[in-house]
Amino acid sequence: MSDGATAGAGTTDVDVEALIENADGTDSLFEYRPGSSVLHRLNPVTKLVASGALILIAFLLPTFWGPLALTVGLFVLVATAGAGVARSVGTVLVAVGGPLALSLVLVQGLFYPQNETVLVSLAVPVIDRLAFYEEGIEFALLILFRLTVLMIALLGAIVTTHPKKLTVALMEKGVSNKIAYVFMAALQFIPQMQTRAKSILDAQQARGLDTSANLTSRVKSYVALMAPLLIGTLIATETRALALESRGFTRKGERTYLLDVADTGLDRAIRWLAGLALIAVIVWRLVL
Amino acid sequence: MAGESQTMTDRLGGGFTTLAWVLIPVAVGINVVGGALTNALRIPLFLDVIGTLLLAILAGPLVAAVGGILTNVVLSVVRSPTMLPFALTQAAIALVAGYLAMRGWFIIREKRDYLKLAGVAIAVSATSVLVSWPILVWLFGGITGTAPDVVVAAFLASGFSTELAVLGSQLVMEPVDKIASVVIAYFIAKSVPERYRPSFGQRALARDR
Amino acid sequence: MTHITFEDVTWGYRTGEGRAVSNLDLEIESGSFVGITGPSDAGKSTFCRLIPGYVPHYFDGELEGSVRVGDRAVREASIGELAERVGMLFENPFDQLTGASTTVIEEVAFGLENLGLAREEIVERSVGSLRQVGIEELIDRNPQRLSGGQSQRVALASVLAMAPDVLVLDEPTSQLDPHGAEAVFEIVAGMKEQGYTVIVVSQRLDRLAPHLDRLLVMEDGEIAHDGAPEEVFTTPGIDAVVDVPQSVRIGRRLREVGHETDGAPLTVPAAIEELRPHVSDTSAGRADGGVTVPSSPEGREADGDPRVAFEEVAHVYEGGVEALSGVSLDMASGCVCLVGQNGAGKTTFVKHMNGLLEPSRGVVRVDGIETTDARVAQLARHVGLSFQNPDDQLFHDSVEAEVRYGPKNLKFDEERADETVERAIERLDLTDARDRNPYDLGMPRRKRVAVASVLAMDTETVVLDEPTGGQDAPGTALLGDAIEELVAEGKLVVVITHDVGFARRHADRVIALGQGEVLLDGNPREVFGNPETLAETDVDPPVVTRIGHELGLPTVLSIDELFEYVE
Repeated sequence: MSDGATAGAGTTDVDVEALIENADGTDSLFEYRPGSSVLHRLNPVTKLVASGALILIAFLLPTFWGPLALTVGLFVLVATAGAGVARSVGTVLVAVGGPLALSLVLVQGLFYPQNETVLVSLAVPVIDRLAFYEEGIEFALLILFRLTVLMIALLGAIVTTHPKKLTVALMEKGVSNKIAYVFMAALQFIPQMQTRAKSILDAQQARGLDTSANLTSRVKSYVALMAPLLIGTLIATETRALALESRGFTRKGERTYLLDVADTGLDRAIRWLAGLALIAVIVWRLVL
Repeated sequence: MAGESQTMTDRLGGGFTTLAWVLIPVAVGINVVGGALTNALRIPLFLDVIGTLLLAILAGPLVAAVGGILTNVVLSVVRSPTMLPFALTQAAIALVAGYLAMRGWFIIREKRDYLKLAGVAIAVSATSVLVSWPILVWLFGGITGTAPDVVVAAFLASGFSTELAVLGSQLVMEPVDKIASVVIAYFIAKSVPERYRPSFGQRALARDR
Repeated sequence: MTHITFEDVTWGYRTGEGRAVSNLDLEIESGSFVGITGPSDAGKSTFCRLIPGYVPHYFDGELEGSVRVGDRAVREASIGELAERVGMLFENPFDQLTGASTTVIEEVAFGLENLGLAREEIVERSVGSLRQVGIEELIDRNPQRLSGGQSQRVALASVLAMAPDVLVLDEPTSQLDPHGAEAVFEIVAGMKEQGYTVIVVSQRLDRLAPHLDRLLVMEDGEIAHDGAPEEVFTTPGIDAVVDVPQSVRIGRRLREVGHETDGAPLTVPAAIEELRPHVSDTSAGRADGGVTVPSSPEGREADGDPRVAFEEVAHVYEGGVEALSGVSLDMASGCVCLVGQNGAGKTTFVKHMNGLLEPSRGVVRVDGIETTDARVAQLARHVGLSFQNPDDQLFHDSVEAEVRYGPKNLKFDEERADETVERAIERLDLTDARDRNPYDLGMPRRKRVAVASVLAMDTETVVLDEPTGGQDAPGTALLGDAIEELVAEGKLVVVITHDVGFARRHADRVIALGQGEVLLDGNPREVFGNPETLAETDVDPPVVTRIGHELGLPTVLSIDELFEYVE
């Protein structure tokens, strides 16, 4: 889209939204995957509300079947938003959910305090016999699928939403521009700090800091690395605070946004539906 | 800092000045990068609340709480959404450390004053354990898919309930990490030259008075 | 149109010592182009901060007198209000960006969003200011991934979008490489024609002077000189505080040797024109150029075993970028300057000297040790490396403790540490600052602290990355002297620098790197005598050398040498 901006002799034939969303380099900064699916086009607040409702529902449901169904359904939904989205969500799901599943099944299957009914019993050398219990496995699955709902719901929202659009949508719903600023700045800041931490490590090693010394001196080294990192960024913040002041950061009054984030009838319907579903589950769980 | 209205938050020590807002992303960065540096130096601790503690010392409890919550919001974006619930732990640590900073517990003039720092370390450890405990029990059933699971498993295997097993593992793991974090945060904050300390931090560390 | 008035202004920072500026009493005409120069810590930045109201609204301290911008008294207006009149560009190209933008257009639009303008107007003004600074094509790039020069222009576009009519630029190019600096200067120089009132602080007067209506020299918080640049440059004794452009020095010298001249030529072409009638016919006078010119420090490099040896060294970064490709060279002693554009591999090269980077192919030996066989902390005994950004290493609460950190890590005994620390502090003229917090010193002096902290490690090889960046004239001279002393002790000093003037004065050997390869390697005369090859890596020979070449002379390295051809 930058072509339109550079080649165009006119002043404002710039599609800002497309320009921001498809800018290169976003991939490594945060998990956003560009696309044009329904999920991508929903208002970010809608996605957050729906995710929140689904997560609460998953945690209210008493057995693992409900969260399991939600997990499968959510994953299918997320996959409709494109292969890139599915891959991003899947990667985190495997990386975090994998060890979690293993740990849950092992620990709860073996040691869950309410364990009674043996599901499988394995003959194991040295300790003789290892029994996995039904109650423990069921509890493990319940926790596991609740957490996978949490992960897929939030990841689905994150991966299909450009952070900038998220902040604009939040500000339009009354969130302070300062909160929006710190969220964006923090996301962008991390890779920058990592680079700087590496430079500091280099600089201090060049002055004889030994990363292989004993633990006490390594902890002292930690201060030698973190202190310049903090002081350097504090010096930078002075300039940044002044630059922000000069650009109306603390100005009171109406603000406008470069991006227009649509809030359609579909969005409102989904938010209502999510709210009603949540209330229904709460009522069902309380009445039961 | 001028240009900001004096609000109720000012009474809590650190106002939300432009400088404070600019500091918040710094604290988030330090929390995240600080954790990564422990790997580079092979220090067997998490040290992932240093940024929050620094913000508590330099800018007060409320600013630090925003920084703490934001840390885990950002972590749930860049790492895993399962980090999100622990935003509460970060916020609680921020409030406790910031309140103590306001009460002068980071002012150390003589050897004896290091007891105050020990007090802060204990308070922060206790806060961390107390807030993480219910999150771990109710949302995770005690298991997070990380190294401390081994400790929880050991407690469960010895016949403790989930609640006690989680509490036990937290008491084993947390204090060392949080005490180290408080001490390190104090020394890093001290190394910030006075002219670069926000006004809350100047009072909280009050060197030349 | 905005006219700026200072009426007897005095200001001191609450946390600082003494007064930052005192008795400022002057007027700046609207539409004028004013340069400010002078030694570090002379109050130049404070002067700048007074105009957009950062002093007294952001910084704490005591303000006497009054500053008026147009009809506004700075004391009464807020920073936000003043921003509609006054735009400020800071020294560091990255710190002044919001840090919250994912694309350049968001960055430029940030201020306009806060003003609550209509979306169409935001886009129009943002694109317009990007066009004004010539970087429209960067519109969708991530601001954190731009070069310094690009980033500085984005910052300027963001300031211009707010539609001020006064621009205050505090050292806008001191942290940029020559290429980026040139681009920024070009835009700044055009600002006057566009009707802005421009106030620019800079140490680099070579480029700035031809455009100035007026040059102020600040010393100790006061305005010491105020006049047209030609006048200021011809004030007796000015060389001690101001880095007078080479072209002006040449003009002055012409007058000294008895020629009638127009005064002080501010540009290189003007200097050439003044020189041309007086230059002797080179073919008749000195065929093949002056082979031995006494003032140049050539041939000091000792024979014997090299301290540092690179054999076919290549380095490929993760992600496949080849930063060095097959570099072979030895270095024994003397001052070796590394020149070349950003990305040419200079920093990658020096990081191989103390093992921070290991060669992907080939071998690096330092004092006979293969760098892959030793840890960085061990190699630190052989090679001391000071990086470009001093703030990457300083963290002690006094200069002395900072300088002692290296010797302590190397486990020097008390006596030796005292001695090396003392010598390093003296050498960099930090004696009066030894008990102060390094961060209470300005950036140029912090840089000297960082250099001192490496010198104190008493290594046989010293590597300095851009030591003169942002230094004032005395600071640059001081660093030059320190390097000469180290060389006299028989050490090897490797200096990465964009400052070819510095290289011409102090280097025994100049190595030009380009795209990871050695393009040129020889004494300064050989290297700077080859402008075509240097151009491949964006390096220009020193001004005086260029003037010599323009006049058809052989490669000259100093004004003295140049004047050997002047009748």
